[in-house]
Amino acid sequence: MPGRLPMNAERVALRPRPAAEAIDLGLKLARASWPRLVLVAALAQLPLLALAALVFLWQPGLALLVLLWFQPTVDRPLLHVLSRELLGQRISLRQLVRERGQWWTGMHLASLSVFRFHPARSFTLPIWQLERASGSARRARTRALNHGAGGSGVLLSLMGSVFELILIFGLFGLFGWLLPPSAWEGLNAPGWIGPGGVADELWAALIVAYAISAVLVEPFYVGGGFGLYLNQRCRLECWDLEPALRRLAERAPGQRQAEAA
Amino acid sequence: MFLSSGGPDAIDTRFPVETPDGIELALHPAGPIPRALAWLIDLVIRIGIMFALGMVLSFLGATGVALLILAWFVVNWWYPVLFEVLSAGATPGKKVFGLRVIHEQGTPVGWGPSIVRNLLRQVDFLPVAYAAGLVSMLCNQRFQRLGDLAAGTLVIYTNIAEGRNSELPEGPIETPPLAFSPEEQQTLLSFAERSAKLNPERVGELADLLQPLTGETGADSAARVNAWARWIKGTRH
Repeated sequence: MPGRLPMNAERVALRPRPAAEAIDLGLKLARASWPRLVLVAALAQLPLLALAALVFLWQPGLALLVLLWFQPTVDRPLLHVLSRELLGQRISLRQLVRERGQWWTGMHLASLSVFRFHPARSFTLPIWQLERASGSARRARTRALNHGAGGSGVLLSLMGSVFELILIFGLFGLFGWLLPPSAWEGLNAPGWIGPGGVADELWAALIVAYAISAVLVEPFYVGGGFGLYLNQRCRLECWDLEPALRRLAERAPGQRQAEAA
Repeated sequence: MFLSSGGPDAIDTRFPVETPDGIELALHPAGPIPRALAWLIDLVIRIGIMFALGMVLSFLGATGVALLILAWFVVNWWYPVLFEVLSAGATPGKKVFGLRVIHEQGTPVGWGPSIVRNLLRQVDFLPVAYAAGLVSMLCNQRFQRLGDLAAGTLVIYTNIAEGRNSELPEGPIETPPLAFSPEEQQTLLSFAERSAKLNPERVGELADLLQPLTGETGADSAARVNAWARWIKGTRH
């Protein structure tokens, strides 16, 4: 059985929960260390933005697609930080870089190609990245853990996208509010979408707004999926009982000696 | 209450409160996903009501339009309040997802707080589509949006049945070899109850951990634990 629950997983209270509440637990785990996670998400987003900027010079619309396409890469360091947070360990950025071997590999290429549109991405990522099973063992493992929660993983992805959209529109709305009317005239916003297609300015604005909303939403999306994954291990494997059972077993020999004496 | 792993200040989705009449309750505040979906269902219902009213009132000409505007006011502002106060804290959408609005102290929501939390939807909605409410929920220990914070209300899950122990399979009863503490007893009991739904291979694995206590391995060890669990359960009745 891959990855037993370490005795020091004291950071979260694990027990079998309904799927929705399990996602909430993940959200709260992400919330507890959100400044670090947002920082990591922002730093991970920078190389993607650089790549998008290069593509932008050639095809502005394609740049947004590139940024969207490589988002699974951003999830990885986030999950690594969260999996350490579960053990009550705050890892530094330096450690995160040093341990890149642990999060960079594990179905990374597949997650950017054949599994790019995996409907329950953040729920499946722990199986790929933390358990590192491969081949038929991985497929069997995914099938087993999906039992009773696959739908919730998909719903989480869907709502993650919705919340990203809400934040993108929210950012546009906020700027609409805050910019003085004179600035708007200079930007010629109404002319951004016209018969000649979408103006470069709008693509640039969309890219920036998407990057910001992804930086804010992705930590919680990964957290929610991790919460769901942890809960499946509790429901299907009694993972949460393991430390208590080990403690119980430790009581045995001492007690027997006492009885003998 | 279910046993859970984790230290004393572990992150949990459960909040203990004491009601004014001194009863200890465990509340489970609900996060943004079921709440957004519940809102969506309520929106569809409200649009349906307005659509049906529009069909009927269109026969009345200008008076019909005036009535329709009045109806929109009532449906938009009073739909959530009336359901929350008169229908056990839940609009139809919330009912679908097993959600309920209550006061922070665990008591049923009253008129004042319900009106406040629903009036402030306008603030939570800013700048678009509840972006402020979403951020507020994630900034908050109990997933409260701004309206909830102002009104002192919570949205909780109603379908979380804790402490309802499931049945143990029939079998021999055996007195445990040690005097176990209440937590240890609960661990054994939980293991016995939950192992009935686990795959046998995994049950064996977990039971192996208890080999120093049971003196057996695999299924035999699990059977032993089950016999102790029946004894523990017997002493609790």
